[in-house]
Amino acid sequence: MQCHDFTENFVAALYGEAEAQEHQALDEHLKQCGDCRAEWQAFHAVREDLKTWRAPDFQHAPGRQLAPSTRWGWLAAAAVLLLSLGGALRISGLQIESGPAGLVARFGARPMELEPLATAQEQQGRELASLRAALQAQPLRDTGAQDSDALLIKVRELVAASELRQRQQWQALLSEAHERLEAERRFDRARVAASLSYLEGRTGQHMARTTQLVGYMLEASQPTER
Amino acid sequence: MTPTDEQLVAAFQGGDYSSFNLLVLRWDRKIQGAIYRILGSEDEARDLCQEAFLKAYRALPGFKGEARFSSWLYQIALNLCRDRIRRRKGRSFVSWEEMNEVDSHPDRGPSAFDAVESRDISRIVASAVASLPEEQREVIVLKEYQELTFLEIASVLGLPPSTVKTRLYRGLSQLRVLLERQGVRREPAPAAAPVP
Repeated sequence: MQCHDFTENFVAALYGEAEAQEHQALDEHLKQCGDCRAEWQAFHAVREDLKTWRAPDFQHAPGRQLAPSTRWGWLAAAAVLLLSLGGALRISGLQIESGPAGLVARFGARPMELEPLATAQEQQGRELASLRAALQAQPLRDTGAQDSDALLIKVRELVAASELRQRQQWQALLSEAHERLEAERRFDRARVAASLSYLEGRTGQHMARTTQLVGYMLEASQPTER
Repeated sequence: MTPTDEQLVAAFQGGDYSSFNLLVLRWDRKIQGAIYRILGSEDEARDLCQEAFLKAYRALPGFKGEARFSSWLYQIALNLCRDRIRRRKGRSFVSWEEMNEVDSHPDRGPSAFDAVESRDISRIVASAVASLPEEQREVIVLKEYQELTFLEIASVLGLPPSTVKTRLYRGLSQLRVLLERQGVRREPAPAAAPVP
């Protein structure tokens, strides 16, 4: 067998992972081959050298004091931003619906704002029902065409008055909801702006620190005057 | 009784997300050490270790357990290292060429020979490892410093064990040449012949 046929045995034996048979074959070869014997010793020496390179004493992540310039700083800032955005979207009543056109994001009123509208709708429904009941309760009399026309006009007036009242109530409620939403959006925009400003501040600090370090390095790289 | 990695993974997948904390405590120093040896930067080791655990956290629900959790985690960490090296355009933290360049400009600072004289072999060794091709460096780090078996390294790298051994052999051969050239190894260390 040639030397290179022992490569795998050689490495496995070096790390104590060779089978007994592989060990024996390698041992026989080393007795006969001076080059491989020298290499065997040299590899042991290299392994000793490798041990001199020590890694820093890394601490466990949870107990570590994290510098603001590390990724955690950015993650924290990003989390603040995302929370702000999340809050803004939640407050603005973002609704995501699946429809024929795919997923649709829609800003709308929150369930709380729908409550007064629903109450108004119920009230109007009750009014219409009472009108309908009043009409049905009216005895059918043969009062002629004049009476009939007067009744129709009366009903139309009642319906028109009811519709007007409904429109006014809806407009008032919508206007109030719109104003509140606008105020909340302005508030959320301000919070997002504050988060962005925080991120910019962090970047500025990081850049300042980097610039300072580069300055030190440049200073240190200058030849010393004798 | 200490739960195994596999038990912790199963607990996580069953909804006990706190079991991931134990996995982090168990592996984060090892992973940071491996990344540090490959990239040579303490800060990057911390950053990428955090990134590796974030990736692992997200992907753990889909982890099928075909490989050991630790092998899978090393895979994630090594992939992040490779991405980082590619982003650096293949530049290692201190290349061998840079060290030699420093030697030819004595005004710039301590040379490699100075380092040897001051017994700073560690620095030379770190640079020698950094100058290895990526595939050899990974195997050296996983074997020498992470103390994985050949089968475990084969699982991490997705290679046959024979290829792992060949890469390790080449890496050690190259390190031998580099270290001898820098005067780190004067006399071969006495080593007994392999005994079964």
